[in-house]
Amino acid sequence: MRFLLKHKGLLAAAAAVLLAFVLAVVSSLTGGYASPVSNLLGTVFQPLQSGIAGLSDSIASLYGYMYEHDALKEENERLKIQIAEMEAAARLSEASNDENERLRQLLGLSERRRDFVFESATITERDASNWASTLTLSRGSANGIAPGQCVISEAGYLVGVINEAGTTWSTVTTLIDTDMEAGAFVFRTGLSAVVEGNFDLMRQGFLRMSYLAKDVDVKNGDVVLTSGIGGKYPRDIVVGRVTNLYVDETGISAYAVIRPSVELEELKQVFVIKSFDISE
Amino acid sequence: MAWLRYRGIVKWIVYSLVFLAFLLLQTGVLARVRVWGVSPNILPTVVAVVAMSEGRTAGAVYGFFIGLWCDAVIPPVPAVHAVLFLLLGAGIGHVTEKLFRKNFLTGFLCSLVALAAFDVVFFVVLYLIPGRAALHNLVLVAAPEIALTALCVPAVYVSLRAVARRFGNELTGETS
Repeated sequence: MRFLLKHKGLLAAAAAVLLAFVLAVVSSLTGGYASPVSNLLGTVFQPLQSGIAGLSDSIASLYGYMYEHDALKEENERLKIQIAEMEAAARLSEASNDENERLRQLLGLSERRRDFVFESATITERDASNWASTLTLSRGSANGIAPGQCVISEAGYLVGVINEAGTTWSTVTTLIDTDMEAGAFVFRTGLSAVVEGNFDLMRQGFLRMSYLAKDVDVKNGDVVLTSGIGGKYPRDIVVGRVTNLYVDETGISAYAVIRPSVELEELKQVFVIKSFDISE
Repeated sequence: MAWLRYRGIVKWIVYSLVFLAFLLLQTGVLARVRVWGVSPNILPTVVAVVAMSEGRTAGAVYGFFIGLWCDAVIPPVPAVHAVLFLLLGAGIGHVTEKLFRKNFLTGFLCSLVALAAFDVVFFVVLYLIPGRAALHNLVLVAAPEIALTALCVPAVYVSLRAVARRFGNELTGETS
């Protein structure tokens, strides 16, 4: 102690490290809500960030219009065909839904409902670090957003989960981040698995579906959805599609590489599911 | 001596405003620039240049407070920027006080060393030890990040050295 008092610089450094440690502990004890210091700084910074994000989006849109016009036109044509195919599939499934409803009534089952309460938010910051995949949103605890809530895109695709909530801002850990883990299933076969982030795949924009048997029936293009197990994510939120199947490092099991359905780089607006109630 | 104290306060306010501008640039613009899968990271450069210009104590204090800002706006882990930037500010200030001239080459090299050191400690503590990533990932991310950031160092250096030259050292009155 006398040594520290003699060297005032070291004393100041020790005090600063202790303060930082206290802030980290406070942050972890608040259950994902921002510590008072982080909340204050984030709240002050957030309007500036929103302005810059809007400007960056405008410049990116202009760049896209000027230099990617042909690619966008081609994508537009492809999407028109895809819409037509999906409309045809929807008409076929409508007949199945009607039959399902009649059978439910016959058996005395209650109607299947999915009640979600949403809060929309714009993205003010993305991937501020090269080591994690995160987004910062323009809404926070003042709008009912809380840590652990699921975030989806306008199309209903899984984006991630709220990691930290300030008063007027919140951060999202995206589905490709190494901290991400969720129960999932393959739509075609009903096979259950776990989807999780992986550092190597995160840098390529993918995630992985783990704990599969080596002879598992999973094909390229299979759609993967959340299973709802664990209660954090509602069931039937689209995660992505299988792109490849590999044997994992142990050689005993396999894993699939999943391409997320959401385009994280193109996202501007998301929806936070503040509460959900699914009745089967 | 009162006028020297006044000039010192203005200098640190200007340093803070310049840092906020760089933080906005980092989070709002540079984060969208992806080359070789990474974005440049100019924030350790800010700490390095100020520490070189103002010395170890001022560099440590400045690094700590701008680290608090970074922890608030850059997920995911609280307090890590504050501690690392404090140590970088103290270390770079101490070394450059004793051994090196305050010029662009020193600033450039200190910036790259600061970024490398930050990346190594950040990665080892938060990713390697908990088993979230393998060692080769450090090289795959840090190497291109340092190369990209090197292109941005001149602009950061010129801005911050302009502040240092304009306001000088408030204790001695000399301009650095």
